[in-house]
Amino acid sequence: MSNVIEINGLTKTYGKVTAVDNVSFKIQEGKIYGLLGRNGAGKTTLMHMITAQLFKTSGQLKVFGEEPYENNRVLSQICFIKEGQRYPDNFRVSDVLKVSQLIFPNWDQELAYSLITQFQLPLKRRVKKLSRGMLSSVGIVVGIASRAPLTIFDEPYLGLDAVARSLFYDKLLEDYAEHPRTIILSTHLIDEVSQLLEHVLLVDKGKLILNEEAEDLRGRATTVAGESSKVEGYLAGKEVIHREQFGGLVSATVMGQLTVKDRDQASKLGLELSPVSLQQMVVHLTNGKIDREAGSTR
Amino acid sequence: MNRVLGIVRTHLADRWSWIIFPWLILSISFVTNLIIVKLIGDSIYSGGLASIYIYMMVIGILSVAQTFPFIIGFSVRRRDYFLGTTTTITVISALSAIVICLLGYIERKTDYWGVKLHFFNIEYLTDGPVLERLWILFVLMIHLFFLGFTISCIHRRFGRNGLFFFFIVLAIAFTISVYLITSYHKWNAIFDWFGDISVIELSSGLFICTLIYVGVSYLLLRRATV
Repeated sequence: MSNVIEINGLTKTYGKVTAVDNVSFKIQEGKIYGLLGRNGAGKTTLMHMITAQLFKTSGQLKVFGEEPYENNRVLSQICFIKEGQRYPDNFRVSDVLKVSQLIFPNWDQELAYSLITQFQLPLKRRVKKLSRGMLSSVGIVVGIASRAPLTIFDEPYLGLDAVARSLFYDKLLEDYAEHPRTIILSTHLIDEVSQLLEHVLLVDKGKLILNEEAEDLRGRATTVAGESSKVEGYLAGKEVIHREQFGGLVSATVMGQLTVKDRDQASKLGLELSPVSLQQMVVHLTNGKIDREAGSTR
Repeated sequence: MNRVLGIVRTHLADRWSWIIFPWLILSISFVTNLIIVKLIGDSIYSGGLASIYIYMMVIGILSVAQTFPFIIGFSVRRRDYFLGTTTTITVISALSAIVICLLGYIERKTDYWGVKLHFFNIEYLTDGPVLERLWILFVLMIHLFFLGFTISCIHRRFGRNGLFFFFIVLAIAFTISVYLITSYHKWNAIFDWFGDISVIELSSGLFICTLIYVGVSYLLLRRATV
């Protein structure tokens, strides 16, 4: 499979603040990626650089094998739906669709109108007058109907209710199945999308701290609970990302696949093992207490 | 090419700002002049036509903030945004020049609306042959649009402080020029020089200025972020 994005040592600084710090990764064609991380971790800055809306400070950035800046071969293949997308004051929802049709080469107008109906968007209303949830829906419609080979959603569902969010997941998967493309989803609602994601990139404080197939991540972290003396012995030599103490009991989360031997040992010691959800893993990894870089779990 | 059309469409989606308001403002100015000329019963050489031109400068200032962040957000090249915007104002200016020229023709044929109101015929500017008249009307509009557009691009690229700095430098340059002209007693020479400029020289000079604004605003937008 070819790489849609290749990033090498990418850095963006604003004065003394480093928003993106020496990040390297590759994004392959035809997969759904999750770009996760806390607010201000550098996700949006990263996506802005990929789409040539911000200028990098240093490093290499190739999208579809080329520099994206002022490059129509690259830019015409990208649709970036960002949380803070601005629209002209007098734009109506119908204007967004008409302009999108001219801008995105693979645009499917029929699909767009059917999505507008399903998300119950008023075509004649000014975008400025839409509620936050409706505004998010407009972005979602554009993102799906653009059929851009690289579609990026940055927090696409601010203000959307649960029904509309699940409609989004359904429609995205449905269209993705018929028209495969590369999708990057940046979000806080990790549990909701974790079934959707094929690959996870986790950014914290401008650094990439996790870059793994979602399949490999399931079962990658385990919580060990039991008497503190036994747990402490068991944890020796393992990467502990979280620890909680309740009186004489300890509950600790360890990174890394447990071997059969590990499991046997745990059951002999009377320790309880339980899987950790992606969301919990992300919370533990980004709560500011741990320093790690992508690749250290391999 | 489609993407450039997309930008033209983006601008013109705002029909009120681009098409209805300018002519509404011009109509109000015209009607006001008509009422005044009726009341005083004497002929008037009105400057009301300037209203549509000033308005176009305002559109130039406003359109960058309205459309640039939107278009760049939809991953379009800055260059295409620029081409689309230039196409839009060129078409609008050309059509406006033709309409104003036609109205000027009607004005003359109706003996200045029967009340000696010189509204669409401006002494000096529209005295020449038709092509020259069209040219000056066209250049004036595109010039004022890009003047506003460039000022707005300075703001887009360097922010509020950049714009302040620009105007401070401009004010200092202006003050020093006035001082130098006065101290060397050159005012008369300058007025004579302005008095001698023909319409075609004026319009072509303004056109060259426009090309400079176009170049500068393009360079500013190339490095502008949203």
